[in-house]
Amino acid sequence: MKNILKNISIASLLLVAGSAGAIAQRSADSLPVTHRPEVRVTELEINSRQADLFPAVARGGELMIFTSGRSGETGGSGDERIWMATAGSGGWSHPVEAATALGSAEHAGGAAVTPDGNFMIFAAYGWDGAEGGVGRTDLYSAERIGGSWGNIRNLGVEINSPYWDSQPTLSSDGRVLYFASDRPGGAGGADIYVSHRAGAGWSAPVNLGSPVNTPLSELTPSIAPDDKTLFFSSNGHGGAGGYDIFMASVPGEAGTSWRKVENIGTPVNTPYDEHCFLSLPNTRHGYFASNRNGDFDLYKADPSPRPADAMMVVSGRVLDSRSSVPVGAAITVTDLASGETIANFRSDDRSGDYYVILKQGGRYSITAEADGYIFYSDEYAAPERAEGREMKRDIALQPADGGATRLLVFFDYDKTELKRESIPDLDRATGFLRAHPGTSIEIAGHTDSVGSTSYNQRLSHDRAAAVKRYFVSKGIPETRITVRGYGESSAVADNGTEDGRARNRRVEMRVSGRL
Amino acid sequence: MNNVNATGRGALLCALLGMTMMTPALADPPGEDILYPGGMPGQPGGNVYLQFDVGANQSELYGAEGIHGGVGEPGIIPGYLKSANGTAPFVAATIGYQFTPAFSFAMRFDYDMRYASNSGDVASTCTDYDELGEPNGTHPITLHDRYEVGVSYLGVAFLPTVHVSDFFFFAGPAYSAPISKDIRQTVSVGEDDANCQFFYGTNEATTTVSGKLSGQENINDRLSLKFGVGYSADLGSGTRLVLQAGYDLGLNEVFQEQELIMLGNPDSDGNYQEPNLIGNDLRFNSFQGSVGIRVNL
Repeated sequence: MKNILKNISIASLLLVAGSAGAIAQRSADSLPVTHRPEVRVTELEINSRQADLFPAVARGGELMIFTSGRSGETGGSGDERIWMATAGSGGWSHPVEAATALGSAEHAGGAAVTPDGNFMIFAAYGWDGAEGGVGRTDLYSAERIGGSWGNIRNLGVEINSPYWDSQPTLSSDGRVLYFASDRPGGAGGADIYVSHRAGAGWSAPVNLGSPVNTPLSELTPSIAPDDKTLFFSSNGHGGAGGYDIFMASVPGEAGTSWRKVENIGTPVNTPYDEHCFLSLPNTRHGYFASNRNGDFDLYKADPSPRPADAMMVVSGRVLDSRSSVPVGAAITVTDLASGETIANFRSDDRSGDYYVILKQGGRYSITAEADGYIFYSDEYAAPERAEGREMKRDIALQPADGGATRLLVFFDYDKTELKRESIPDLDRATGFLRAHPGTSIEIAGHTDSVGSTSYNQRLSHDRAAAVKRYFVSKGIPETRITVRGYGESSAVADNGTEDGRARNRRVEMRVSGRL
Repeated sequence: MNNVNATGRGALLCALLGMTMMTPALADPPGEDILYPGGMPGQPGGNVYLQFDVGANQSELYGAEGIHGGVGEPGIIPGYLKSANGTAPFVAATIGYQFTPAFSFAMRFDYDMRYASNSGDVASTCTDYDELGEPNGTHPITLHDRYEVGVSYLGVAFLPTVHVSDFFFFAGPAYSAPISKDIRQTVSVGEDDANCQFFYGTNEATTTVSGKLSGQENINDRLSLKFGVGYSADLGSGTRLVLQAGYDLGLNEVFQEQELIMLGNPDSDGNYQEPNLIGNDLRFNSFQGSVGIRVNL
């Protein structure tokens, strides 16, 4: 008996020693937890008795999309579904199930939405209605058309693996996708991956690697609106206990690597599990999920431990210029400096609402295009270090047969050579002319009232002629294009102000008739 | 309680323990959801977990009327016979369900060994003999008495558990079926009177006598209350290191009735033996400390 006792005692000592070593190793890997007494955590009123998590907002926080296990139209208690609520003066509206098309899925949720709330990527598992499913839980995209979510597509083998692929988050321009996956080849457990828009699809996902991913699990990535901070949850960086929320900063090129990781601190993090931190544009607060009171609930952290840089928000409605009927239009954001398209959105088919977030330090064009209409572009400058600014500007689309639009073309002072940033809109106009081969157009040049009338008339004509030469160089028959200089005669704004003069200096394309 | 019944209960508990150990292999793969991949441990609410512990019992054996019959002056119960203590190991397998982060319920199966020993010197008398071997008086001597009591059980405990952060508190009833006992007693004549011998004048003559009781019979099923506190640390990948300290409070007697232990010359054939009695109103209580690994399923 004594030998048995001795052997068991030795085994116990070895286990204790091994455990102590494991604890010491974990402590060495742990990141410090900072207490932030200024952060106030409050529960959201939309929580249910079931799990509520994965908050996502659109339209400046007016629309909340989240995942809930509450009983709904298509799922019973505990079945994860995507829900929506809208902000009003009295708080959040009663949540409604967002996508009944997902009704047969065992679980569906974790939706990431574009700022306009019209495009989302979500995860679903056990879904009979999923065509082209690749693995267990896959990522899907959906568009909001006519007020309901449809056109649901599996993101395909470019993104999905035979393993668990979930928890997407989209950059504010909708062109960078982060998600979590437990596919082989990672650092261990579940890891965070990044992919970029590549044409109509996505590039091959890249594992973010260290220091974000660890041998344990990293989940619920969420990219801040300014793209400067990646929030995620992990049980591999130590912390307050369970899963904690961390923030990675100093992104490498194209967000494929992040150099610094910090614990977001208490009171957001607790010994329980915290996930899904959401940083909102132009607000002080953020949302997250925690199970500190039982099932997962949504909470608000005010102020956010790391608010995003202020952004410029442009919103409004896209309307038919004649009937004022809302138009569902493709919204394209172009960086005028590089000429690159940096974001694609849509205006709401039913309301015509559009919503665009612009990063500071750039000049952009926002273009609305819809079938049967001439496109419309406008220029926006978002200076560095500017406070968050919201602009409301409706877009009136004119019909393709007989309407007119201002071309975003740029010239140096007293010059008639087109500047490089004119190219995106000129190419767009070229595309319109190719799509409407039966039309003829007039290119109309206009100036402000500074300078003599004859000078302005000649300058406006020469600039319109430069635009025509561009179209002709792109293969548009010269016979379809007439040029006219209007000088200062057709002002659309007050020439007494700089803003008014800027609006009067313009080149318009007018559909003058059918050939 | 007869021997057969005790064997049957032990077998039943062994079977339950074995089923518990096999649970990971038999369980269906856990469901997948949006937050956690299927099979990924770590969900703190609504998940099943397994835990394996090794630990030690620091046991206290109480016997107000003496753990065994006196070897000294009749009617006097020296202190060393009223309580004893000692350390013995135990191993446990636990299957539990975490209802919420704050509450879980566990069913713990353990192979539990209890051990206690004590010793003391007691005053006695030694018979004097004349040259013909006839008794002719007595003189006082000191006897050194040492005893050891070991009992092993297979047990099951039902433990509601409250979690506060990484700490947890548990309390609940436990039932244990006896497996075996191992009782030993050794009595030696003090070194100052080595000529005084048990079984004087026979070929069994000795200054030390000892005896042993073993087997399954005469051990009561054990009912007790377990309560304690623990701390768990996340080791990642759904495993947690668990440290526990608790107390097991016995609610009934260890043995069914007093049992004879025969003390004889340990080096002889045992023809001459002195009877003693073991096990009168004895209770085992234990402080229990353990270290374990918890795996979320």
